[in-house]
Amino acid sequence: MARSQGSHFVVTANTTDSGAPVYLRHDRTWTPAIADAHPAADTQERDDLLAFARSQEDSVCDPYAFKANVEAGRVVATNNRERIRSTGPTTPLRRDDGVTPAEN
Amino acid sequence: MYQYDAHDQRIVDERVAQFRDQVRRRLAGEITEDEFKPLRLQNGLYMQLHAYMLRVAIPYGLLSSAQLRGLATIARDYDRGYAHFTTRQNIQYNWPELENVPKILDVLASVQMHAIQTSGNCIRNTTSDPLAGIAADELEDPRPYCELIRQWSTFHPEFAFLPRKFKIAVTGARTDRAAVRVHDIGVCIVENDVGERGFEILVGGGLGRTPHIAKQVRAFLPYEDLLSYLEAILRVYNRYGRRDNKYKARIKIQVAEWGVEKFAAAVEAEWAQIRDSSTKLTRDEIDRIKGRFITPTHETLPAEDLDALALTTDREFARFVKNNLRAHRVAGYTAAVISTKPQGRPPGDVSDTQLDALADLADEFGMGEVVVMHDQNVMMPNVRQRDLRTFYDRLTAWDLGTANAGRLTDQICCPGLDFCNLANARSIPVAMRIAEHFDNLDYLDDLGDLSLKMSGCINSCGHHHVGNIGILGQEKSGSEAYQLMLGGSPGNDASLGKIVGPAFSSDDIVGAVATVLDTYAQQRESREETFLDFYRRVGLAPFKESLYGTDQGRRSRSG
Repeated sequence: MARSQGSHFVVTANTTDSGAPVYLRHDRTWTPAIADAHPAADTQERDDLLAFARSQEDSVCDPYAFKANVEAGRVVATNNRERIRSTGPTTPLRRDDGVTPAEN
Repeated sequence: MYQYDAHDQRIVDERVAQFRDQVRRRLAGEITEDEFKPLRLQNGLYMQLHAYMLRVAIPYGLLSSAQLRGLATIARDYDRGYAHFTTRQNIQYNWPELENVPKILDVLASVQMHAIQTSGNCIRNTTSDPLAGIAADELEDPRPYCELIRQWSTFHPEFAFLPRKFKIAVTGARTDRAAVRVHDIGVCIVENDVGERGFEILVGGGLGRTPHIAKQVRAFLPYEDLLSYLEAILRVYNRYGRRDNKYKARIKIQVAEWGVEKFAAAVEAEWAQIRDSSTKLTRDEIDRIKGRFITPTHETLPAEDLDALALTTDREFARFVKNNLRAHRVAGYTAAVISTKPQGRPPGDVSDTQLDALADLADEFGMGEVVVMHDQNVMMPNVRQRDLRTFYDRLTAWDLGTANAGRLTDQICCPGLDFCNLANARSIPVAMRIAEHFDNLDYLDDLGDLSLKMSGCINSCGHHHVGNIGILGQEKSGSEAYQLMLGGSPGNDASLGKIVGPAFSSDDIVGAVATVLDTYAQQRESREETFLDFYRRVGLAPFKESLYGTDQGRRSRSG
């Protein structure tokens, strides 16, 4: 489906099994990639998608909508929170202790 | 180390079984998220930005080597190979999958641990002095009283749905290392004029959106009345505390709105009715709790010359001796602070292999115990001074020997927007840039004792209000901004930091900290004048001048 440039709404939730963020596609399936999310063009479409998302609460938790932009056909978050939520922590994850147990 | 009795173990085991069934029902779609949420929160399971987060209680911060190995197993088998020490002596896992949480709770229960009441509007984990039991200035070990509070408050039916969360800290020493004045209730073991042992009770401290220093509601409480008096305070709060506004629901707001005299009078009136109830403590009951603590037995050892060790030619070891050791009341022993804050690492994070290593080191050098500190470090409380060199070498092999305890880069730092659902700005990357920028430990030693505390939002998990230098992350017009405050302190002379001026951008905040430090270094009267003493003498003016210029110009700020 063609995606118009500019400001839209994206519906998101966290999965029940892992808590990972997921985004609602146009076909009303969930994707972990924000770029593949469906950008709702207006509040009516947003509310319809949200209503559907709330019916999915076996598999996802606490759905909500946020504002996003479409740039070069891809959905991108417009605020820090959703940007970090969509891409993961900006800090190193597992602390590299530099040694293996066998070396100690 | 407190040893569970059959009741303790049964309570924990039954809770694991209950939660296992609740998780099964949630995953099977038998209960909704709205129904499940209060159940998971009562077991410390949050939903954060990227995943669930499980907060595990570490009562008064005390961990055995067996418990450390249990925590390592969880990090390795059910998370991503690491865990995070929090600012209230707990530990968090950032990536557990829901179906694995009951298995994690099984591991915890097998080492006498749990995640009960680490979330929700209930009485949370009771914290204490990391030097409890070994401090030279201690009147009495506070941990048996912490344990009594833990047992009294666990599943207390009257206090399961308080207006807001409730935090208690207990200290038995003259020097407050437990930040009791910024807790909902602070309990200090004291002696009265005739030498009787009891408690000073402070109420209404806290940080967050509206920080307050706790006020004294009772100068001396006989030891047998501890639980009935706490119960009276909780009852007054539970009945009259505000529930209409989440941001005004903590007890500090009630105490501030009522005034401490009115609040204390209400507590005394309530207490008069319940003082002689079943919560009255007896010496036998206190002794029973004390008897369940396995107390390390110290050898008779000569005191080593630590001053000479601090002058050794190995500069990093000398620095460790100078910065990371704390006095022990038994000759020949010391307490060692193990910093989780080397350059390039998120403050408070430890890997599974480091947790295992800490367990091995605790068994070999520390009588099998460590203490998690509220500044996100770990203390090994019973190290023989004569073992220090070997102990230090083993620490450094595990990247645990950073000699920055009490220095600028020993920062308290909340998880911030990289993990937290509530945060407005990132804090860990700023902390890491500060650690990278101020990598000259000689300069940090020259600056002396100095605390830097940072939060990614107004909820203040990073205790920024009581940092000598505090940093508060904000979002302004879609960008991260950082407000700088100066002059906070959590100790006996507790004070709240004051905002120095307009916030700084992410790019400028590290430079602003450098300017603050340069101002202090250049204008202090002597090297003996600490940053806090300097601030209290001169106030904000010289810092405003150096940060913003005489016209309070808008240089280096985000808006």
